[in-house]
Amino acid sequence: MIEVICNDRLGKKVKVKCLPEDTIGDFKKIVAAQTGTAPEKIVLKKGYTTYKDHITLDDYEIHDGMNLELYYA
Amino acid sequence: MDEISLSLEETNKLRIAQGLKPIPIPTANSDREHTALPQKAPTPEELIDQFKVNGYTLLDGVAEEDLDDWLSNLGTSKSQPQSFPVEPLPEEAIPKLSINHSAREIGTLSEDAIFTLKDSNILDEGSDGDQLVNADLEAQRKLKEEIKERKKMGKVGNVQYQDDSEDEATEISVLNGETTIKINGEVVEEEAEKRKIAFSLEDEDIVAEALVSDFVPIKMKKAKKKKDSSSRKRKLDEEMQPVKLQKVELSSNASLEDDDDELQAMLALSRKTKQKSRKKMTPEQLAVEVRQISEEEEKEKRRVEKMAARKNGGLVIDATTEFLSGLENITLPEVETTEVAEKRDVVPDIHTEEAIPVSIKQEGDHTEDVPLDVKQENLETRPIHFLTNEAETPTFDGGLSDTLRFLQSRNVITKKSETELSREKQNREWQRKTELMKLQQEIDQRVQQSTKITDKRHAKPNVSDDKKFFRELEDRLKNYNPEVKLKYTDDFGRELNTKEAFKHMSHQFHGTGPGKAKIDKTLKKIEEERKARELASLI
Repeated sequence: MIEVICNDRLGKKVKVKCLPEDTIGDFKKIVAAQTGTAPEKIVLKKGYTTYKDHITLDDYEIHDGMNLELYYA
Repeated sequence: MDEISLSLEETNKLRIAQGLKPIPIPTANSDREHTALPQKAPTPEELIDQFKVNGYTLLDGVAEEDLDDWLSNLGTSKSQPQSFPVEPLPEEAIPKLSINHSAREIGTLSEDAIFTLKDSNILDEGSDGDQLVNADLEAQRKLKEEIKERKKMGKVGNVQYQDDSEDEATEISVLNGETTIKINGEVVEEEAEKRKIAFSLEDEDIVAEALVSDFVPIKMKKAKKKKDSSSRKRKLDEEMQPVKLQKVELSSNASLEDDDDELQAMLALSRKTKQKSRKKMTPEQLAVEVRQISEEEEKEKRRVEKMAARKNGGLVIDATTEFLSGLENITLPEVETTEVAEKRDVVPDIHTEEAIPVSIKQEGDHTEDVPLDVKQENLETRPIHFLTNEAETPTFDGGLSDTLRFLQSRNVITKKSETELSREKQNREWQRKTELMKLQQEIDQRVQQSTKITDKRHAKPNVSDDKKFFRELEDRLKNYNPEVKLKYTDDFGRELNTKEAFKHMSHQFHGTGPGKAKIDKTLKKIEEERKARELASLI
């Protein structure tokens, strides 16, 4: 289990427990449930790369305690 | 800003609601890992089976020993041969091994030397098979080779002799317990038990001898400094030889001839330069020149005729002849003593061009019968006379006029033309007049002022006087047309052209000067010009 922190820098910061083999899509669903937003509206970014839904956290090399940028489309 | 984070249970509930796999609880996780990780380790028997090659293992031969035996045997060397059950194996199974070192080299090795298989290409399965190599020996050999290479580099070019004896690939091949030693291709078979190896050294000796006979010591030829020594020798010779003094004939004839030759050469040179300098003439110019020459000739003729006519009538003494004769008396007093003009040519004197006609007139005075003949003769001899005089050094007896004449003849001081002279004269007159005018004016003014003080009538400025003055000025300047010509000269008094003048002034303004090379060049040029002028004056 890993914990990934998502911050939208507008007042919402969520710490999400997840598995490395989860896809970004799954991850978004949990984040959406925790923040109360629609998962389709969530955009995850790190630097200039936007994470795509069908790829796992492991493939993106997202590790425990990492910070992701949370945007709303 | 608070972090929203759910507990694991809550997350799991969420995940399940979303249709995702729940996150395993850590404690349960660790248990599972522990149970899962250790796989069944292979038993020693299995391992042995894995490493068995051809059904035999290294342990096969070892007798079953106790642990204590093994411990007691640990320090001792294995002197007794191990009792392997040596079975005859097929030839191909035993790899053919050969040691890649000479016997001598092996002899140097200590007992516990280790041989390793030489690196070779896997695919290249040549006839020579595997080679055993000692690392130390290999390193030594490499070092030797390197040294040799360096030596070669040292004496580049002339490497005639190489010590090949070291390179003898003495090959010892171990084959099935028997040792065969190859030396220079000859195979010497030895028994395995005999540690001593007897070489037939004859062969080597022969080879060595041959090499010795082949060896030709290179004689380094020192580069002799032949040139230097020879030159020194020559120098010495020159020093040793007494200086031979050549007799120089001092006959005046010879010297004169020499002079004549030189003169001819000079003449030729000047003629050439003149021809070069002469512009290409148009036919009209040429015609004009020809006419002038013919006119001059005619004049000459007429003069001669006149003289001839006078000869009958006797000598005419006019003012000029009187003056000239007087001048002659002053400048050349000894001339009077000489009787004939021809003699004067021989006697070295300070005659100059101008002096000759004077002397003729003198002659005319004395010998009234033959004035013309003398004159004629003198006319003919004149140029030569003049030239011979030039060659001699002037004595400057005649004072300043003589010096001036000499300088003029040498073209050091150029004679002024008549126009120039007249202009100068005019200028002088002008200056004198203006001076006079100024004086007059001053006098007038003073008179006026003195009268002004005494008389009040002249209080008003006199207009009529001023008018008069200006009119005078105008009159004075009526035919005043001076020729203005700007001339720039350098430090030597040479006239400069525009470019040179600009440079000169620029240098003056900036307080700089031309470079050394430039100065040298100009000096050289001046010298050349001077020489050319002298040459021109000579001719």
